[in-house]
Amino acid sequence: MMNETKQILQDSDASTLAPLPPSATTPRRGGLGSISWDVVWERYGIATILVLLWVVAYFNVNYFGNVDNFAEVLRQSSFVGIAAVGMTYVILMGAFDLSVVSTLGLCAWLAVTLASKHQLGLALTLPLLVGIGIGMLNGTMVAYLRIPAFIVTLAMQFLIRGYTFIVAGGDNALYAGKEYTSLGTGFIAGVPTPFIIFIIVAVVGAVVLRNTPFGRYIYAAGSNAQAAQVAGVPVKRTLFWGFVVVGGCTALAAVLLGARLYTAGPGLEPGFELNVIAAVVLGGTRLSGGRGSLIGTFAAAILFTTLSNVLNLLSIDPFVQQVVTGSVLLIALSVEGVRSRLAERLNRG
Amino acid sequence: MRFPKLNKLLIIGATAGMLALSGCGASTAASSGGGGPKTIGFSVYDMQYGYFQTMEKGTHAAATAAGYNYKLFDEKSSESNMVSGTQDLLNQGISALIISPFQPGALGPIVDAAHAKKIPVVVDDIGGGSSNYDAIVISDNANGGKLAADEMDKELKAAGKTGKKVASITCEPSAVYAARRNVGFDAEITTLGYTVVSEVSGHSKQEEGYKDTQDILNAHPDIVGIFSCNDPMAVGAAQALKDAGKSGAKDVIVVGFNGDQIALDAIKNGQMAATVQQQPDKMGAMTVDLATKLINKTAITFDNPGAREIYVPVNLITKANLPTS
Repeated sequence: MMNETKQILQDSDASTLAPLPPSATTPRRGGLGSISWDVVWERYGIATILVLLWVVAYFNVNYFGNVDNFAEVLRQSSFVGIAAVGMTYVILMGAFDLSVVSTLGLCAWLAVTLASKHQLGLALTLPLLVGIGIGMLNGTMVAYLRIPAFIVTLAMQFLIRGYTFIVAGGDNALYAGKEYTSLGTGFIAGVPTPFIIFIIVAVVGAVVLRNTPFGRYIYAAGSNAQAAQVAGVPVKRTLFWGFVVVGGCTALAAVLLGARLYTAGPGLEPGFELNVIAAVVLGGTRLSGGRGSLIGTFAAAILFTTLSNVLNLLSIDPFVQQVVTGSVLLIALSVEGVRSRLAERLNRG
Repeated sequence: MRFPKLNKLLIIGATAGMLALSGCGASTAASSGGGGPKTIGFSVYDMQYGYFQTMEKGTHAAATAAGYNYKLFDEKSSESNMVSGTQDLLNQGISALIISPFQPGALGPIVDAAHAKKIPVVVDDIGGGSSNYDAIVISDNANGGKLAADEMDKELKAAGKTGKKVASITCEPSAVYAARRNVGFDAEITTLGYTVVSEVSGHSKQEEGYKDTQDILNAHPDIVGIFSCNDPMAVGAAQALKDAGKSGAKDVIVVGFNGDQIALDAIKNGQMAATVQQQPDKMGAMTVDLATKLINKTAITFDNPGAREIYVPVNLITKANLPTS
């Protein structure tokens, strides 16, 4: 699924890799110093909308500002959010991973099962290794065997789910021991534990993406794989490791979700893969790759949870909720499309 | 890479903002103990199913009639939704929580969170997991099995049949409440002088009910009655009888359980004799009644105190009293 269109390296995030055409580095109309408002919007637009939604909801929706409710929103956003950090890595390279839903089920089931056997150390580590292993399999098939990511990860979704049903015997694992469940339900200094882990994952993810060669390779490979290859970027290896990152992040989310629910089974969270991809895309990362940022993903994951929380608090009919969520996604992405086309035209003119 | 500082500032700012908002929000939280009407929250399994729509109607009507405000959450058949959405209910100052859990195992965190806020939890059907719920409402399954046995005996006598061999098809072994239907049936039919010559599991599936019945007919061609733990399997049994040239309403008396539309149709068409209908609307009303008792700290008389179970009566449906729809 590598994006092979002949797109020049005009993306600002690839600026450290190759000399750019002058238009990309000179400030545009309305720019402030070296900041281009286009890029500011791309990165912080969703975060801004999120904060606006909070402010509006805070004053207009009963119980929204309640400390318990707010903590719950942050907690709920963490599971999709942590997986979405990993997903951002592969989507930046124009690929995606549909197998995360089954990886989540397998790893969460494994974590709860091991915790229930009082193997806490294994419960926290083995699922991560399994997630990383699944990522390696996906990465090998997509990057080195050149099978499209859609096919590979869809097949893996079925395969892993089936496998989990077989080993789990169709039953959910159950465990309510505090030493494990506090990871999902607890607080550290008043902040929900999963959210603290989400912040750490997002910050580490952002630092790696921005300050390491791996991160720069990702943007370069996503902008134009052929050009990146010519420039010496190890495109295949970068893609491979991208899938490893999604696998690992998903497994981490799974360990926490199992602790949140006290239970996990093969059928955990239907539609999880699409929620994760939706968070990344709403966060401003292009499905075609090359452009996007983790701050967007971070904010979008919280935005989705906030939205469903607000709709719950307003007692909106469950079917209407689905319509609203779908509409928001559609409107956000249409506006984004129109905006970027306008920006392109303005820049040219 | 042009403004990493701004980036970091925004992350810090946003996080601080969230915490600040959540901090000052505490003062605006409404208390549940105020003078206004109390609120009951209901977390429903999945509103796509008719059974739960009926349950929801019963719950809503009873809550309104008792003067409560009412809040609904739809779990949409997801354990993660179930936990997060029910948590949203708990954070809205409800006085009691009623829940028909999609995944009984995930009741643990919900009951823990509710009890931390001193909110009682009434479970409606499905199961209580191993959680510490305050009460659980289920159909009177054992009595339903007894009703089925009595009806089978009545119809056999009316038809002048003298055979005494009957079969009992069970749901999956993990469905512990449903298993009580077969236990109730077996006990009563034995008392009435019959012998249960075959008890097999159809795993709640129509096609397995069909196959099981074929096997039963091969082993016991003189069978006179079949009781099935649910309606899909009963309809499967009736189909197998039809394919063997027999009628599930005359030659072999087939009685199902649930009151599903397919069974009502089969009874109407003379393919099976009867079914035992559950009453999810009455179960809903019962949960509201229990919630009131728990809020007011009135004692509850349980049908099974060990597991805090309350039973709701079931109805026998035959061709004579088919609901007109």
